[in-house]
This record gives sequence, C-alpha cells and structure tokens, in this order.
Amino acid sequence: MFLVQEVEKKTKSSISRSSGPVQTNAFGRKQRAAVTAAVTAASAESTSTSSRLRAVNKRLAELERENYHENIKIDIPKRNLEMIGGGPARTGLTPASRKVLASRKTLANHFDDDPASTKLYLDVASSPSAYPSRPMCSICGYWGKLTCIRCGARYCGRACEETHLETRCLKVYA
Amino acid sequence: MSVLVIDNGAYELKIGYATDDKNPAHFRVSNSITRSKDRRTYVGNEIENCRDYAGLTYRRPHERGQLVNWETQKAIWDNQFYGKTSKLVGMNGGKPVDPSETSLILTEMPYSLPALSSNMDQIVFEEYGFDSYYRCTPGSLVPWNDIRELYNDTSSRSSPVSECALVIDSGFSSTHVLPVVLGEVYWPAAKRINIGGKHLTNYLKETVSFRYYNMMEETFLMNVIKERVCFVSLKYQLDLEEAHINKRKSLLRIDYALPDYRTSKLGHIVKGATSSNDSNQVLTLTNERFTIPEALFRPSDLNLDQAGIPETAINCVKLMPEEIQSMLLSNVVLVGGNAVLPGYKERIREELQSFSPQGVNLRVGMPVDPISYAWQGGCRLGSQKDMLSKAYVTKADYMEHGVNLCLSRFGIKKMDNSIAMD
Repeated sequence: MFLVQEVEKKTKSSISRSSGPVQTNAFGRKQRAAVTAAVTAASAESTSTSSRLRAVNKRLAELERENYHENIKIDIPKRNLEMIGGGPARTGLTPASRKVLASRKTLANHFDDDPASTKLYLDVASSPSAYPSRPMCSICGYWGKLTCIRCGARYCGRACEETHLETRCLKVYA
Repeated sequence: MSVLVIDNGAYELKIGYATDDKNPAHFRVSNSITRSKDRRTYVGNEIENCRDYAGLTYRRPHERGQLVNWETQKAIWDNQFYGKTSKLVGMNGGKPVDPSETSLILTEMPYSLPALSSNMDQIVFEEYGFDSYYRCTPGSLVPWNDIRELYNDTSSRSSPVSECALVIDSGFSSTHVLPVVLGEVYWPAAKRINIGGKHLTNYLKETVSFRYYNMMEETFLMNVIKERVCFVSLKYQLDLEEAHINKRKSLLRIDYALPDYRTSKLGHIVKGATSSNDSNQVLTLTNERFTIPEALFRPSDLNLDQAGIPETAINCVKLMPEEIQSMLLSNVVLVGGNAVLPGYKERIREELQSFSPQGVNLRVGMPVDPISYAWQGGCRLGSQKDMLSKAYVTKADYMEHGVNLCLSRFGIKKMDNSIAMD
C-alpha cells in the first residue's frame, strides 16, 4: 500500500513538473525513466482495481440468476381444458391489458425508461456497514489472512493458496 | 362479496379468502413455471407431480422482486383461479374465482416502479375485472395481526391495527426493514438489503460446486439442502474455529445423502455412522452450514457493500421521530422465508440488543409461520369490511378516473393515518 502511495505521489509531481516543454528538456535520463515507470505502475494499479470491481459485480449478478444457463426460454403451456369452463374467455380484453401482457420488457428496460423512480428505488438500498469487512478465505471459508498479490483474493494458508492459483486466480495480463 | 388476499411473493404466492377464522385457510403456491429435464412444463404447484427434480429450470414473473412479466403471472394466477386441481377452487366448493364479485388485496414489493404498479392495476381491473382492489406492500399488512401475541403481551389493543411495528421482511429477492406506524409504512426510513433467499441458495450452490460436486444446475436441490442444514450461527468465530480445527469429527459436520432420483427425490441427512451399504453419494458440509446464511448479517462477506440486517434495522430506527424509536424496538417482527433459519431470531435479538440504547425494552417476535404472516394480516384487514372499504379503489372509480387514481391512492404515501385512525 505504501509503495502504491509513493508511486502515485511521484506520478502526480512528475506530471505537474512536466507541464512545460522547457522544463521537460531539463529532465535527466534517470528522471525520465522514473516517470515512465511510475506512470506504468499507476495505470496498472488502476486497471487492476477496476478489473477487481468488475469481477465482484459479475459475481453479484451471477448470484441473482436462478438458472445456470442464460436465455432459457420456457413457453407457457396451453391447457385450458383443465380449467373450469375453459378458464378465462380470452386474454387481452382491453388494448391496455393486451399491451401489458405482450410486454417483453425486462427490469433493465424499465429502469432506463424511468430514471427518477429508479433513483428512488436504488436509494432505498441500505448504506455500507460502519464496521470493517472480515476477510474470508475464498477457498475453504476460514479467515483469509493473506491476499493474492495477483488478483486480490483472500486465502488462509499455503494449501488454499495453491488451490487458488490453480483454479480461481483472476489476473489476466493485458 | 368475498375478499381474496394474495401476497404475491417472487418465490411463492400466498393465496386465500379472507375469513374471520382463527386459522384462515390459505395456500402457498410456487410462483413459477418450471421445466424439467424431459422438457415438460409445470405451472405453479404442479411441480409436485414431477418425478425427477434434477436440472429444473425456472421462469418467474418477478425480476429482483419487481413484477415484470405479466404473461407468466397470469398463467399462474389463472391456474389458481380456474384450475380444476386448484386448492383455492376446491375450498370454495369447486367454484372458480368470480372477480366481478370479489375484492382483492394484493401485495407488491416496496418501491416498485410506478410503471410496473400501473401494469398491475390495469391487469386487475381490465383483464380480470375485480370489483375492488387494494394494493400495498406485504410489510404494511403485518401489523393488522395482533403482534402482541408474539411477545406474550396480554394487554388489550384499542385500535384495529398495531400502532407501531418494525417489520424485518427477509424474502426471496431481498430483505426489507420497514417501520410501520398505524398500518402505514413510514417511507423515508425504509431500507432494503439486496440479499434474499435466492442469493443464499446460489451462494451455497457456488460454494458446493467449487469445493465438492458440480451443482450449478441443481438450484432446486440446493434450496432443499439449504433449508434442511443451514443455520445462523450465534458464535460465529467459535463455530468457524471449531469447523476448521477438527473438520472430520466436528459437531457441526453434517452428511447429506444426495438423491439418486430412483429411491429418493430429495435426499436426506445421514444420521449417526454412515452405513456402508448406502450407495448414495454423500455431500459433507461443515462451515458451509453457517457461513452461507451469515451473508444476511454481513453482506460484505459477499463483497456486497451494505450493512447487515441488525445494523440496517438500527439505522432505520434512528431515522424515525425520537418519540417512537423505543416503541419500534419493542415491536420488532420477523417475517419472510429466511426467518425460518434456526438461530435467525436469536442472532437478530442479540445484535439489536448491542446496538440499542440502554434501557430500551427490546422485543423481537417471530410468528409461528413467518412466511404467511403478511397474508394473515391481509386476511385480518379483509375481514373488517369497513376498514377495507376506506382503502380500496372500486372498478367503477377506476373506469371513471383511470390509472392515475390507483397510483395516487396506493403510491408511496407520506404519513397518512386516515385509514386506521378512525
């Protein structure tokens, strides 16, 4: 963490220093190399946090899904015979209800249609906890004291580290 | 004129006629259209006739708790209203539901999008043609029950609805904390945690698939296993150590014999020493039993940046006017499917106690049937016709004033006590 802060500090100061073309010429070779290294490191850091965030969001979206395979289409069975008097006469009695019944809109579509109410809906979500999160081993479920330096996942010890590296390590080199 | 009450949950709808009985009859119906591996489809509870529960896939009308797909919902409702096998019809002497002679009390998720609520109104009046209709959230129906029974409180109630209740409704799609004052939710303090039973099942499914057998397609089975073996830990640290140090002999270990779909449909918990002639595959669960439900109390374990149930509840109480804060804490009611997990009530009481100010008489109550409790509240409301007639919208009014009437009458209301006060 300390290293990252240092790198960020360096990057910021070097960017502010390199704002004028005259000053750039004053840079020595060593300094220029340091700047390049710092910029690369900082961008690597930001991509890794954003990719971690993406992985977290992807997993949360997966927890919403009941069916493992996406795009499963199940047709509604037509069996009016098993209904008393053949069930309701027909569906879509008025233009309005016909429209509602025929709607293929997903929740995401509805969110897009009505940003104000969507904001209301999203704002009711409970705020983050005031207490720090407890790191859990992503392999066995015990406390995860150690962090994978490549992808940031937690594990508890040597055995779980190996399993993690073999199976779940998310780091993709760009 | 009969009153039909439907608590239209995303997982199960609770349906029945409102009566004055002490234990009014109602039915829990799976709110889904299910397809089995042999490509047969089952609407609602027909799935009980399915012989092979392996690899079931679902189509549900709700998405994240919001009713999106009315085509699906209508098929499931029609099956209940007119189906020859419907228990609701059977109870009514084989007569199908006649909407034109029926009042409807129907629930929807808190903060449903207005467009979706409006769709619901249109279907109720224009497609089915119910005579009159009241739409509300399940939480607001809860205090129509006599909640003092939950605390063995024998003082008599003066108003028809419990004055104050902090309803913690942990359902399939999400968990809501709703302060309900005189039968109305106080919306500015309402809170939602985006974790429900579905997430727990999927989390268990994912964990078991990673550690033991691939269960990614066996949502149904994992839900059954979750309901049978999971519990909420009261001493999480100790339990986690216990499960870690001595995994084989731990008291927390449970062996679950998976179904072979010939002799058993659901599998069973293996009791005592494993009999060697038991040919079924055995799934051994230890810390999975309590680390999964723990997500309700620490969503951050799932990297979901939200407070758990007790912390959210106390945050919610703090947003209320100071005079009624202690009253809410003395009337906590736990409802919804997750409340059935062993240890759930005790854990919430314990954590709420530590968050509450000193001297507050904290009372946490859980009804015998937390899943149908909101329905029972709706039934109490429905059996008091004079109350209901103040709340509902009639078809005649709807036809005259149109969709906006329902939205303004049932929409998110500020503290409107007019229903319960007089």
